[in-house]
Amino acid sequence: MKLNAAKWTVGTTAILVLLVTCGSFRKGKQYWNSKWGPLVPHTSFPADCELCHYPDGWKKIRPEFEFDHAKQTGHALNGAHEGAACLRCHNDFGPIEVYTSRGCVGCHADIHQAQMGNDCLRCHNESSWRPTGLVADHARTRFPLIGRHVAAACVQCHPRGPTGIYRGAPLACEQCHQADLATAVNPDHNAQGWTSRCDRCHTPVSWGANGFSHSFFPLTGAHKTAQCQSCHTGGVFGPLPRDCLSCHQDDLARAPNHQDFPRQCEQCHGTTTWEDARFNHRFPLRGDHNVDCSVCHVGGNTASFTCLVCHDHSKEKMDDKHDDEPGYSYNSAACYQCHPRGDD
Amino acid sequence: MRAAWALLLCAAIAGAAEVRGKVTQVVADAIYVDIGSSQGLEPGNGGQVQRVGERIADVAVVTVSGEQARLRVVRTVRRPVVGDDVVFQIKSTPQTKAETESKRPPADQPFEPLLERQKRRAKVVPERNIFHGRVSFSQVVQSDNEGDLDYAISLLTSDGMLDRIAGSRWSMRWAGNAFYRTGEAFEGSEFEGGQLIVFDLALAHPVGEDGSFRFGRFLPRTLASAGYFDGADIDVAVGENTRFGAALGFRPTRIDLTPSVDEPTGLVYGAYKVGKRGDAFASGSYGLLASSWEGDFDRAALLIEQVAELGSARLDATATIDFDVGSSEYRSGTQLTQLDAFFSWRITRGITLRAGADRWQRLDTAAERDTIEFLDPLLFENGFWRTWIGAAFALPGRLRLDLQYDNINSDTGPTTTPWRVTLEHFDPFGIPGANLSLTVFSLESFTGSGYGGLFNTSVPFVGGKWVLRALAGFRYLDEADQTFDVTNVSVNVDYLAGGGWQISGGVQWFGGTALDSLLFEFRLDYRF
Repeated sequence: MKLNAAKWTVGTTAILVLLVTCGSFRKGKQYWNSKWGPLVPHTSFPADCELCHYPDGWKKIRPEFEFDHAKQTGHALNGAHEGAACLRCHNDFGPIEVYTSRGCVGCHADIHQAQMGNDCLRCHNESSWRPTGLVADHARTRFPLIGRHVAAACVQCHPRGPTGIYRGAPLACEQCHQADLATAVNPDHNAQGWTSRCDRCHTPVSWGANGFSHSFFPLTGAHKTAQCQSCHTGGVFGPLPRDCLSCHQDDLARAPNHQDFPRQCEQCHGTTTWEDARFNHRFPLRGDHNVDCSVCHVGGNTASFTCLVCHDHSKEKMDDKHDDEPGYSYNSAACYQCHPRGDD
Repeated sequence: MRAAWALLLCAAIAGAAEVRGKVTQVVADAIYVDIGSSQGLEPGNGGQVQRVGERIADVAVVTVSGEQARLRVVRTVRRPVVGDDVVFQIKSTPQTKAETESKRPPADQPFEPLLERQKRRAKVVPERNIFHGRVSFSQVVQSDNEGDLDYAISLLTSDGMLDRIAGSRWSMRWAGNAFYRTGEAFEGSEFEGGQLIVFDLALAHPVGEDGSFRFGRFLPRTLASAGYFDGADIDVAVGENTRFGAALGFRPTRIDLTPSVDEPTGLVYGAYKVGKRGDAFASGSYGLLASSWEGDFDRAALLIEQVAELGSARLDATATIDFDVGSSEYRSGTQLTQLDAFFSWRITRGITLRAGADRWQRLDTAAERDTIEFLDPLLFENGFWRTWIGAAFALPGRLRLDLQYDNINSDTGPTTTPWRVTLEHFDPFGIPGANLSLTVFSLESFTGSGYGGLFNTSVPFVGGKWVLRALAGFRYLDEADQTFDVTNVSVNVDYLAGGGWQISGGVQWFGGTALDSLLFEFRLDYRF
């Protein structure tokens, strides 16, 4: 926050508070200054002046005088209307009956220029024009306020708001965020042609890393902090292959004993570090099966396996042992089918 | 009861006749009744005001006319109200019909009841320079965790009127706002720094009985959809129920209403009213608007404003129909560019139904296009339609339940169907004027959906001099791969200092997903 704003605020506030405290708190509702003239053109008043005035002095209205607007006219005065000067409504600008028949806009100039309709009470109330709960009311529009939009100043999206026009706020991000777009140079959004549909990458939370959505390829673990150029080499930000090796070929080359490993790195590795590899071997490697990979995966080919190289697994012995098993066959796939956990 | 017996006894002894009437007005220490000299009342007569047969006040006749009398309250048990019975025992026998007729004023001298509008102007203080209005200053400062939403907005606003200028029938109205905005949120934008917006600055003079002429900056009252004018307008009554008017001038710029001569605009309109309010009533205004932009004909539109009432049902509608005058670039043909129709029907004392339709579309005119900084065809999409239905139910215990269901439809935005349910409690805990409300609502965005809640309360205290307003809201939205939540809490206090002064202050906090901002607010109002 700039300091000059705070200074300006404090200074102006102090002056106004001073003005108030020096101002006239003592003038009651019944006080009247003859210089003002009659508050309302009295032609419409009863002839009996004593109803409101003292016979010996016009300046003060009778303290017990109460004009019950609801009873006398059929129109109750609520909220701010209760304390409003009569002349604000009863004046030379036209017949009040016509204006009241039109509702609020009959008397109050509709600064929204009818774009919000005539039912002012949807947003305002009689006590104050200042609407409350607008953040919630925005849910009734095509643009519910999400993320940081909630705390934005209205005029940032509604440039005509100060004149009362709230319709027509753009729905597309780039319309309001031209300045952000212009300063997005790493990567250079304009050079890349990323001048619309910001929501493909950004969320309403922030333009920075916190609000960046790489949802088409979630950036987890070490990817989260990696430089864009690590994957998008040469400033090309077009779609990349989704498989790990398209970026991690060098890592594979450096990895020990990986020559014959499958190329789906994600089967063993997470995205945080290469070292902490975890491989979930579906076939339990325990007891006699806790052997070197190449014993079963002959030649290091993990795409196939054999159960038949073990000294115990001679065909005669197995045939003899399984002579009561229907559909028995002496091959590795059949072994695995009946003994998926390697036990009896 | 004892008094009633006493009255009956007195009447019997004196051979008096009872005259009964109703209280029609209660003003200060006077009461008006619907019986007068025609019923035999004379100044000095004493009587009673009764409610359901029970005496609530003793009264005496002060002045009397044919069918009315003004009474002085001598003694009160309860305060009389309009509709109470009034009973007099008149000693003299009631007048015969012939006598009554003979006492009526002759036909060429019409009866003038006490509350009838005066035909003559009483000699009172000369009416000059009647000055009323309001000035308010508000200061809002927001500080945000990331800084990009930091801002300070100072607003000085004033509106009012100077009537009977120098004793003449000229009057002036003004309304305007002066902003000063600063902070990172506005840095480098067109809104940084000062901005003055004048809504109204016009001199007016009555024309005939109910008409008016004015010139300056104004918004036509009858058809606000015409927009602001720097020019003149005249509004005259033709007959009791019809009015005609015209406005001619230049339209100020759209962003901040700076005077401009680029858009000359003219408006002619007619307005009518028929029927009686509270029964069957209708009023409407229909206008034709035409404008040019930098020398070329740019816009022709029909502006409509309509009100209709039938018993407890009411329809309010505004609409704008723009004709194709050749200036459009993105659309062709006649377009309904704005509609807001709102219908409400109070079925019973406890149930009110409402429904409405809302339509908006950006104007495709040269004036509109030229004032948009980043022209994008998307801005000239077909706009939206919104329809809604709702109902309010008065429940026991000063509770009110309000339901609303919307349907928003547009080509470019999502089609959404937000709903909301509000439960309000009036005068909770026996505090008159207090209000509590709880709202839950649905949220729908382009790619996600969620829900929200809002608790709102307003509590006056110290005899209404102070008002505490508190609000707490919560919103949750589930997007494609992320969730967002926002909580906002605000507390405001208003102090009605008297003498037209009001001071308000408050604080608001927004917190949630990557959001932590604090807003302080101060406001000072003076009505004069």
